[in-house]
Amino acid sequence: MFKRKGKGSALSVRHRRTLESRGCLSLFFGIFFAAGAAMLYFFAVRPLLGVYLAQSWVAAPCVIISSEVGVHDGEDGDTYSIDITYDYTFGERRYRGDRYHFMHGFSSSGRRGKQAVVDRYPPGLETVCYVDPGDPTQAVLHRGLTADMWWGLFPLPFLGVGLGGLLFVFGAFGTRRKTTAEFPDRQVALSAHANSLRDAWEDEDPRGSDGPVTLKPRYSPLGKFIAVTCIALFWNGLVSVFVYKAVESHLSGHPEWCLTFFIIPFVLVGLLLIWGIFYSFVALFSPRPTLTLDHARIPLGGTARLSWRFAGNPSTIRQLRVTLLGEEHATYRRGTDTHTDKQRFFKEVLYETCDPLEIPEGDAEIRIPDDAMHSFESGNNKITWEVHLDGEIPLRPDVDAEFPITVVPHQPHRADPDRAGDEFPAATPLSSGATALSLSTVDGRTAFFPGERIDVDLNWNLDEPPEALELRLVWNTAGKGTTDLEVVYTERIDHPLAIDSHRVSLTLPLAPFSFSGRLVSLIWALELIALPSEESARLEITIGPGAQEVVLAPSTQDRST
Amino acid sequence: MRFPQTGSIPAPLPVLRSLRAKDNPFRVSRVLAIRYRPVDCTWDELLARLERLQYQAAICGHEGSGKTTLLEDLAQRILHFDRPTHRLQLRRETRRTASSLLKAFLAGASARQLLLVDGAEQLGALDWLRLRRAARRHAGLIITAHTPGRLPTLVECRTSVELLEELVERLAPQHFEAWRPHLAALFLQHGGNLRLCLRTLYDWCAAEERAWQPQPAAPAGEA
Repeated sequence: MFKRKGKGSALSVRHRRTLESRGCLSLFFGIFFAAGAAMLYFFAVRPLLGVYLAQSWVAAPCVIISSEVGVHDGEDGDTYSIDITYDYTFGERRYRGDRYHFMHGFSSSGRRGKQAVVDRYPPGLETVCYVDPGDPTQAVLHRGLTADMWWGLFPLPFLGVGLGGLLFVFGAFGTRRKTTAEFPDRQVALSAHANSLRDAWEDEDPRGSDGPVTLKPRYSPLGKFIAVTCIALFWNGLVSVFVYKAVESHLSGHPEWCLTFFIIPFVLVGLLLIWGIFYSFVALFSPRPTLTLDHARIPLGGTARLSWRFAGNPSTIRQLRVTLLGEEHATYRRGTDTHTDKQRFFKEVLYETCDPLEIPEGDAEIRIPDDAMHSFESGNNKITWEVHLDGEIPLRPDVDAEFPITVVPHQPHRADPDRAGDEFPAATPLSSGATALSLSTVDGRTAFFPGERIDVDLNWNLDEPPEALELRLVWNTAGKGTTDLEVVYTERIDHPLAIDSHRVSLTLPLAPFSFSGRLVSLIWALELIALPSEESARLEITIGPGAQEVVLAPSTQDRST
Repeated sequence: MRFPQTGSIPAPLPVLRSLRAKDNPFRVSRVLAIRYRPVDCTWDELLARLERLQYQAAICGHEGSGKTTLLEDLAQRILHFDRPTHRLQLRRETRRTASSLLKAFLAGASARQLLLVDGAEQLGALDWLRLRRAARRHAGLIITAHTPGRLPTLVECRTSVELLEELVERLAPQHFEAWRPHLAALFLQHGGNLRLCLRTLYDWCAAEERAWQPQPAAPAGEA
C-alpha cells in the first residue's frame, strides 16, 4: 500500500577517494615523515601513552632483586641505563619485572642521575610497583614523567619537515581528495540518526535493552593533543624555513629586515601553537572522567542514573559541576559561506560540589523534561542533548568534557478521542488557475498524536488526466538554517481520471515531533502532486505529544537541583 | 568598495515576543523566495549581453551581494532557450577538495551543457586553467567570483542601504518603520553583506521581548 522511500533514492551523496601518483617529492618527504613518525612513536608516543595508561594501574608490593647502572658502548662514548629487577605479587601470584620507567631499554649519557635512582632502590628493598590489572605481567616502578622523555622531542623536526612537505605536495597537486556532491538549498535528506531513533521506537523499551553504557566524550584529551600537535608541526615546519633564511641573513651581515618583520606575526602564531601543545599535553594528565548511564537512551519525561568516576588524581579538582544541556543547531549554506548558529533551550545543573570526598566518584539523576524535544539530526539542523562535566583545577588546565546523550520520544501516544486538534479546513491550492488539487483530513483536524491513523480526502479537477498523482507525507525544517526535507511515505495513484476524488488511510510516524525553537522549526505536511505537471497542494499538520507542537523556549536561566 | 567600521548597533524598540523559527519573517525560506532583480537593465538586455560574450562571463560582487541568486535565476532563464546547464557549487569549507569536485563536475557534464560555477575564486590557478580548457568543449561557462578578472564581467552585483530597506519592508513590513533608523548602521557593520544583515535581523526578531527593551543609561558614578 505505502511505499517507504529508500534511503538513497533522493540523497545523492557520492564519496570517492582517489590516489594519484606522488612523484619524487612526496617519496622524499614520505621517508622523512616515516622516519620521524617511527622515532616519535618509540621515543615519545609509546612512553607517554604508557604514563597516561599507568595512572589507572594498581599499586602492588614488590621486592628489589637487583639494581645497577647498565653501561653500553656507543660511537660517541658510553651510554647508561637504569637496570632494576624486582619481584611483585598480584592476585596471589608472583611475577618478575625489570621496567623502572616507560623509557625502558633507552640509554643515554649522564651516569650521575641514573646512579641516584639505582641508589634509591637497593637490592632487598620492599617498595611498591604499579601493575596493569588487565595484564599483570606488565608492571613499572615509576609511572610518572622522567627527564629522559625530553628525548621524545628529538624526532619532531624530521616529522615536521616530512609532514609539511607532504601536505605541501598534496595541497599543490591534490593527491587525496574527498568528493562530495553539492546539493541545492532544499535537500531531501534521510539521516542515519533518524533511523537510530526509529530503532528506539521499535524496541519494546525505548531506553534500549543494552544496559549501562559508557558515554564517549565529544573530544578526547588525546585527540586534542594530537590535533594541536599536528597543526603546530605543520605551521612551524613551514615558518621555520623562513626563520632560517632570516637568521642566516642576520648572521651573514646582510640582514633582510623586510622578511624579518614579515615573519614576526607568523612566528608569534607558531609560539602560540607550541604553547597549545604544552597546554594540551599537561591536560592529558588531568584526571580523566568516565561517565556511565544506566540506559543507552533516555525517553522524554524519563530519568536515568548518571555515574562518574575519575582516573588519575581527582584530588587536584577544586570544584566539580555536572550539567545537562539541550541545544538547537542551525547551519546555513549559501554562496561560498557556511554559518552555524547554536541556541540553548535547556540547562540544568545536575550536581555541583567542592567537597573533595564527593568529587572522585558519584552519581546524579538525569530527568529529561516531558515537554522538550527528543534528539534530532538532519543535514543542516539538529537538536542535541549532552552532559557537560567541568572540573576546576588551580594552575592547570581544567577538566572540560562534553558527553552527547540520546533522548528519544516518549512511549507512543495514542489518539485521545476526547481531544481533537485544532480545526483546519481544506488546504489552500498552490497551483495556478482554477482550484485544481486539494486535500483535507476527513474530520478536519490537522493536529495528531504520533502513530495515529488518519484518513485523507484527495480531490482534483484537472484539464486533462495526469500520468499519476502522488500523496506524500513529508517533513521539512524552517528557520535560520538551510531547509532540510524528508519524504517519509508516498502513495501513488496511476492513470487517474482528470476529475475525481479518492480517500487514503495512513498511519502517521512516531517521530520526529513537530517542534519550534528559536533557530529551527520542524513542519510536517501532506502534499498532493500531479505528475508530470507538478501542480501541487500542501496541507501542514502537527504531529506531537498531546497532538501539539513542542515549543522550545530559549534557556534564560539555569535550573538547579 | 570599502565600508567604514562602526560600533555595535543599538537594539531597536521592542516589537515582538520570542518567535518560533517557522514564524520568523527572516527565515531562510522567505529570504530565498525573493529573487534577483536586475539594476539598470532588463532580463532581456542581460541575456543579450551574455550572448554577445559568447556565454563566457563572470558575475562579480562581494559576499552577500546576490551573485548566487542571480546565477540561479539566470540558469532558469537560459533553460527556456533550450540550453541545459550543469552547476557546481564551491564553498570555503570545501576548498581543499575543490580539485576533486571540479573533476567530478567536468566528468558529469555533456557538451551541450552550459557550465555554471558558483564560487570560482575557490579554485586554484591550475584548476582554473583546467576549467577554462574544458569549457571550450561545452556550450559556455558562467562563474561567480568576488573580484572581476577571470572572465569578462556580465554583472557586478552591488548592495545599498536602500536595497536593504526594500528587503526589510518586503519581509517584515510590520517592523520596518521601527527598524529603519538602524538599518544604515547595520549595513555598514556588515560591510554591505546583505546575507549577514538579514541573519542579524532574524536574531532581532527571535530575541525575547525583554532583550528588546532599551537599556537605561547608568547614572554617572555608578558602576
